[in-house]
Amino acid sequence: MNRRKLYFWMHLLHGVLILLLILSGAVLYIDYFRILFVDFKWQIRQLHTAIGFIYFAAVLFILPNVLPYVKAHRRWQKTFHICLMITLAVGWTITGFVLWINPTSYLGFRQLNLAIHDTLSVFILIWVAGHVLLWFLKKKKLYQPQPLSAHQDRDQGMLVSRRDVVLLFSGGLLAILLGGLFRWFQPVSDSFLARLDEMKRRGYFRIYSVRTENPVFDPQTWRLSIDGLVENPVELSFDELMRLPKHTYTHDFHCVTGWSVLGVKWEGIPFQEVINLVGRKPEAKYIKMYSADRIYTETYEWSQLTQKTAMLVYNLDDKPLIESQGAPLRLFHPDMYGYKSIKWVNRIEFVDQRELGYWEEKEGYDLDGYIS
Amino acid sequence: MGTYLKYAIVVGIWALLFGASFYWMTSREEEQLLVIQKAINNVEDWQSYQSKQTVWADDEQVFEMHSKTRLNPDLTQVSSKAKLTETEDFTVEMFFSSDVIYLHTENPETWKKADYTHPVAGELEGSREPTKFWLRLLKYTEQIKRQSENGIQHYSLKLKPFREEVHGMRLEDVTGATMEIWLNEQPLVLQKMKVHVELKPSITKIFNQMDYLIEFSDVNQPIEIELPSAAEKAEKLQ
Repeated sequence: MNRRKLYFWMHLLHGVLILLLILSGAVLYIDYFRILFVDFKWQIRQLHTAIGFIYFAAVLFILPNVLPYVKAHRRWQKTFHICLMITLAVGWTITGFVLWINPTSYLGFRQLNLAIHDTLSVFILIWVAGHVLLWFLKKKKLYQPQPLSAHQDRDQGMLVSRRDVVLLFSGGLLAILLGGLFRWFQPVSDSFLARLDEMKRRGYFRIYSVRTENPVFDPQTWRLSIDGLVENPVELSFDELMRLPKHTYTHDFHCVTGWSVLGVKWEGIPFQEVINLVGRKPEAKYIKMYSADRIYTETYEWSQLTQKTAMLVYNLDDKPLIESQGAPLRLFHPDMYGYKSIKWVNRIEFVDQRELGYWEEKEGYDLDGYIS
Repeated sequence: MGTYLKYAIVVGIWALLFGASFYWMTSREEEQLLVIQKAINNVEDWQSYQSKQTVWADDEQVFEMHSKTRLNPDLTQVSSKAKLTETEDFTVEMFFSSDVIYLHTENPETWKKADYTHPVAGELEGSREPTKFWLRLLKYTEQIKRQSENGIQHYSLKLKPFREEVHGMRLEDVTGATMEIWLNEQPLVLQKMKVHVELKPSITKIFNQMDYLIEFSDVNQPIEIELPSAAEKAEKLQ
């Protein structure tokens, strides 16, 4: 195979592998795809990892062949592009490896690697778009790079040489490495201690709702109806609800689509208090909850909600729930995925037959939603 | 001139990358602090456990508290003994159910009860949630050292001066403090924590140093706690 053909196939292989990584990564990263492929989450993650290893092996194979190419092409732009691709490959490989190992003893480091991995993946999309556009313009002869004169790559005024590009990238990688290493051996910083309460949180809430507009909470008119197979059906105002015994504890929130928010402080009313208040009839084996959005419902076995940590929550991290979090009242069950923690609860019905909840009916989610 | 400018830009980019990496990275000690914080927070997730808290003032034991906690059904039993004089102790037993707190003293034999809206409820609840004090202490960390042996991680923290309160003992004018934490590595389970506090000598103080130890046991093991029948006759706390 002649050199030109070899470069073509290497370029194609590199491009295809990056495309596969971007596609599989998008399923793990973008909410819409995560929900769409929720049942195959772990398989997709494993596929992404496997392609990552193949990509790394391909880069190792390509790299020795790229050096003669760089030597043969004197334009600094080409060198820049190749240096950038090598930098991305190094970045993805290192951060991907860290995420694959998943070191739970280094929570901050892991989170940083995830952020870098995601950022590089978003960056490559923009870069590839520009790369393809340039290729298209050249093909249509709308843009032609000027040929270089004999000594143009040497330092003359602000002319940039290939040497400068290599210096920039190698020095840049070294600077990142040294910056991280230098920090690693530093003592605990005051800024870190000041943020320690926030640092316990790893991740962030991604807001899902099944309607475009969230229900609005008006303390004057809001009521929680608790009825069905109970001895004493009640309708509680928010003030009346606040008078019930409360409980506070800290627990992670896990979404079935793969993201988590760690160390969330939940404050609310243990559901057992609601059962005590209304008196469950023996035939009421199940509980159905309704959301004020008039669409979302969830069902539970009554015994699943008797542990103290299964709560009707109104405060999150010492602040009242905001509208998108389900204000004023939502369920939280620490052992179940987030889709079971119904938001904007305004009615609780004790029933003798169990129905499917919103996602169980729509997408076939597990009825109990226990975190596996 | 152009060459100088070019290299100045290159060096500037390097400096920027160095700074960004330094800023976003966490140090080894900070990572260790996050692990400790996570282990302490995990206590709230335990389904059941026992704890023993002991306080020494100038090497003399002045306070002891035992607690048994079970989350489901929810009941916590706390018994504490505080030294009043050389010959006198004050003992009290508390039971925390989901809606009522029961207080029991032996001499004289009395049972009182209060709900969670009572003004003293907040303070009483502090005795069954012992981790809050330790989480606050982490914010005073100056230096951390870690040793690992037989699956146990032992952390030694040097703390900056702070103002706190431990079971009614005010800690002011702290000149130095150290905190030790023992964690089981796999799974991550908090075993015990100890803090040693040195106070500035003063004629108004009755002690110059304090040690406070909390030990956890029987984590997620079946624990028998029973509310005595005498509690049914408890009077409402005024």
